[in-house]
Amino acid sequence: MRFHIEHTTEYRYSEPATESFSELRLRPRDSLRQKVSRHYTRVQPAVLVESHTDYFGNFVETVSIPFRHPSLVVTSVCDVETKPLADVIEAVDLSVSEARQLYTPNRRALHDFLRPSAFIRFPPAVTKLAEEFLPSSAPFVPALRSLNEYLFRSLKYRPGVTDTRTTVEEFLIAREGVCQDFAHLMISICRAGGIPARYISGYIETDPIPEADGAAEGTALIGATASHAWLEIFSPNGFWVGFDPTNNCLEGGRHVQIGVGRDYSDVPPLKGVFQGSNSQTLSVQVRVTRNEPADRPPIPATETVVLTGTPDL
Amino acid sequence: MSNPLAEPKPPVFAASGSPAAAGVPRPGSLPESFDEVALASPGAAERFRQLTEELSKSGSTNLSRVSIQSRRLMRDLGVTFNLYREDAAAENILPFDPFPRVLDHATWQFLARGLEQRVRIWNEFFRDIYDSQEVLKSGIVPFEIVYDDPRYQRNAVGLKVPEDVFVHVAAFDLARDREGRWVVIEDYVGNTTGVTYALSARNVLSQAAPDLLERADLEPVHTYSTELLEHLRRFAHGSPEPRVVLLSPGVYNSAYYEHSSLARQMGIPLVRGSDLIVLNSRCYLKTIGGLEPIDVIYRRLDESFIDPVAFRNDSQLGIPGLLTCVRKGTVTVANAAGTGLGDNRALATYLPKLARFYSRETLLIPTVERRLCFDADQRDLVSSDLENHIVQHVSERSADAVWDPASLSAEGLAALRRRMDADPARYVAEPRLPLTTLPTWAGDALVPRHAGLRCFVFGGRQPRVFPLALTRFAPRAGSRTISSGLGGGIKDTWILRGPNPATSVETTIIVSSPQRRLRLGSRIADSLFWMGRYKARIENTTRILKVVQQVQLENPAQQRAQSWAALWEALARTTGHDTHFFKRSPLLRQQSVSQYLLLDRKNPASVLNNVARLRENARVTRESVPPEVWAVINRLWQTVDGAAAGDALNDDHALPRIQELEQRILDDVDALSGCAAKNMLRDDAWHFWTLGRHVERAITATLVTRQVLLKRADPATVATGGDSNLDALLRMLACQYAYRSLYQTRPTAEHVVSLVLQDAALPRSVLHCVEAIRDSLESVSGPEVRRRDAPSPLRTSAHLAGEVEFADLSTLFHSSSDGSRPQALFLDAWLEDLATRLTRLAGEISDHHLYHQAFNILR
Repeated sequence: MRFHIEHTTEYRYSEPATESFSELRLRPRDSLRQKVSRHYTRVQPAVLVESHTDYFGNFVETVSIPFRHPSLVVTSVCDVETKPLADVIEAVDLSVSEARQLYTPNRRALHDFLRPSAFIRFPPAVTKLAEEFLPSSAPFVPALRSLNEYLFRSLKYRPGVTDTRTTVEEFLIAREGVCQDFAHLMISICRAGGIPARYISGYIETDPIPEADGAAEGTALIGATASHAWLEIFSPNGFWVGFDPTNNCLEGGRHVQIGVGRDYSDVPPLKGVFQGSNSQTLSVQVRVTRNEPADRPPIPATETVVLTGTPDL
Repeated sequence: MSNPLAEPKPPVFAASGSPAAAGVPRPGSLPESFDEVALASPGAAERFRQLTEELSKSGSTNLSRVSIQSRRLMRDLGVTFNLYREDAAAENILPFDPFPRVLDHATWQFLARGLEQRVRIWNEFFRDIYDSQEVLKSGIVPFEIVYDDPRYQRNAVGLKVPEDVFVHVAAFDLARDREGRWVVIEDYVGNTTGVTYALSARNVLSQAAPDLLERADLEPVHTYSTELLEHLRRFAHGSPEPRVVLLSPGVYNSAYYEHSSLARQMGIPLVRGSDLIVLNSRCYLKTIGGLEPIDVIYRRLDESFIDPVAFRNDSQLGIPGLLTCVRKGTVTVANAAGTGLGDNRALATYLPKLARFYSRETLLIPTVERRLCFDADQRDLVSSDLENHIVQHVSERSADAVWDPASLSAEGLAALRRRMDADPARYVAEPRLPLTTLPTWAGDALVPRHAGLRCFVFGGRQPRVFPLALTRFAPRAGSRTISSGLGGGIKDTWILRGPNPATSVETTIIVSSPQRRLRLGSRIADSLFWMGRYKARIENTTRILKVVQQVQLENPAQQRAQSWAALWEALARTTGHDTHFFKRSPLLRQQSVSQYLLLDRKNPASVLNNVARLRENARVTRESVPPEVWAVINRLWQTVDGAAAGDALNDDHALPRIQELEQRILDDVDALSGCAAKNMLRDDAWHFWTLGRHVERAITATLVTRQVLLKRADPATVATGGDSNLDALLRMLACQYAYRSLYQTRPTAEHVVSLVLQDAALPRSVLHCVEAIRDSLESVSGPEVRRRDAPSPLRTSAHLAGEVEFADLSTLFHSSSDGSRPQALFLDAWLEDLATRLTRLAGEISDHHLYHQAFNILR
């Protein structure tokens, strides 16, 4: 599926900021499952945008504004084609404990995704869920699917209850939150159960798509103004597989990945500091539109992804 | 290797009560406490003996005399450290002990070789960790130690650093183990401290006992700062004229003294994060002349703070985006980002393996025996014998991350065990070392005190130990902790020269042409600007208050408050209050207005608070303020702070005290002006101090004139003049004598206005001040000022000067046949507008020279 995405973030300062520096993680990843054909970032006030690749292979742009500005507007525009991999875990027929065994040779490379991190904690409530859903004897894939479904059924998607700093414990008490909270919780449970899991930030096509005959294709998917977050599990057969507990599904063609990290703190879309003002207000607008050309070129099968700085994998 | 343990000598002297006196050590096992003198090699022991003799004599080198003198020198040099406390401004003089430690040449050479090797190994480790991580892949070091350490900087993986050098400056703490061998007890390969204390120790001792050092044939140390600068300049990225700055967290850091004195000795700017800015992947220093590119940052700031965007979001100390410059290779950070990982005490235990892994070497100086609690076997060893271990956090270096189980209560011990069981990987434990001591002067006798040794190494392809070491000692007998925060002190360390001193390492010096001077940093300029403003505010508030009180005393007939309304309004306006403030305020009735304006800690505009701000600004710019000026500012502070500590000034009887205090403040302020004029170079710093004073004075003169002249009950008197308020106005601006010598009559409004606004010869006139502002701006703006594109504050001030000079104000006082009200209003509006424009000019100066809104890059 092809998408045209426009993502606008505006910071308005209480008084004009005298200088600011920001790091943007807005460009979707290039990978086997998606290809970015066009991307640009526009910044107002206009300054040069520089870029590099971070430890987890994410594309990062930096913006330095050394003069007084009342607001900062960042617009990221891209055309991306998703080509979901065939269900790579369908054939994985292992128990959870067998899967854990198979991680051992990769222990060093997977270490970051097995340990607690800024937002990933193992409080008793989490370890209890890990024991319940990921016992050693359970079959690997069905266990993960049922955990995904459990979180979808028992917790409620509701924006405004939590914020970007909400912890897993707080979410478990409130039992309401957004996709980031769902992802953090499921990652915590998986890691507590010895299964490597990483955080994915991205977009999701939320509207059901009307078919030519008027019937809707698929169902409406949940995501905060089309910005979305989910997670990937490292499957023993060597693939990272996307789970979306907010929507009770596996990652599909309507998911567009931006970045990966241990948790949200590794991949915030916009992170910066400013001086000369006490406070700021933030407004975000994301539009994901389907953009299907009549004949789409096939994605070359040999495409590889270079992750700078990441220890193997 | 002549490591001096073959045959331990008995102590040369033994103070009474010293555990060292208890007995001669058996070779191979030292007693719990032992004096270093006894372990000294024959050469050093001989020197120790001579020293004891010499210092015990009753001559110029008598111990108590040298001791007293060195304490005074330490204070004068300002060798201080800060304690982290609520009143963070507190500085403490470091205790100094005149009895030096002596290290003979052979011992030193052994230590030097060992530490140079150690720096090389650490550097190899960082080069590997921040690249392909072979050492982890091959399992030499467990990857968990690295990956779980918050100081492993994922953002630094893949960054290239010049010449692959990560550790530019390192330090090591050394001690003796039970066999008497030297061991490294602490590695500092991220951020090192202490070198200036070692330099100060030599400086103090050589002044307090010059003849002692003359005979001593020691390795010279005075070139350290210059060599450090040369060393750092080598790592600049291809810049022919590398610019180096020292990045400090600021005055509240415990090592600020070291930062400022190192920067001064190296002749480089001492900067804080906000002094630098990143633009298009280049790092610049904000100066009053524009942005200066920076090539090397010698950071004395914990690396997790250096870039708040890349590393930590809550830090105000760093430079947002610095890492993008490092990534593009436009700036070198020394030590490199990521070296903080070396604080991990568990890693240091792998150095023998690393030495073999990277270069098939044997580690010359071992790490102290250290047990890693994440290893189950080692944990059991520790746990079963906890009382004989010192427990430490694996990477925290603060004093509260060290536990001595022997000194803990039962509950404390249980709590420690619980913590260690909950997260064993966070703890390491060291079997107790013997306590080695050095003779230390206790006022009447030499007594043994536990002492530590720190050595300093320049890193690089071929690391080099500098012949300088810091000896610190514990404050009390038997005390194990050597920390300046806990009352410990320092002593000089004598490294004896070898038989052939000419063989010292030759290093090439990069000969460079004299550099263009760096312009004054914007933050320093800003502080000086505000010092000028606060100084003028203190003076204005005090003088105006004094005049208002005097005028009332001199005219007891007019007791109606209404008569003095204009004067009170002037006072209110110039101290930042609403004009009716004193009319409504109960302060007037309670006679407490002096207390409020002079000494009230809660009144932000009080003289006390302005003095406090003046002093704080002077303190953070100590390297630009002559010590004489600092001394006068301190005296002014003592004047007001002392008065504030005494009785409040709020009754009739307080009047003499009020008058005396006002006079003392004015005298101190005068002394400050005089002292600054006499001692400050007429450089950029001077001009910003001048700008601040004149901006404030011009604004006050304008506001006072407006308030006194026009806000009166009867506008008709504007033209007639002759009332006592005009006299008061002249006194408020300290120009009554100038007026009399010029006009020789009672004051009239027209003449007063002409004098205080337009007489360029009168230092307090608005015109004089604006001209002074213009002249100073011309000086700081440089030679391009005549051009049409001269910076805007200069143009504004020149424009204002012309306008004030040529304004025809006399017409406002003569054509009042139909009543002067419209003219009065016109003058009122003119003065109000002038005040507004002067305030705006101050903002323009800040914007242009201090906040870089002008956005011009030098060169």
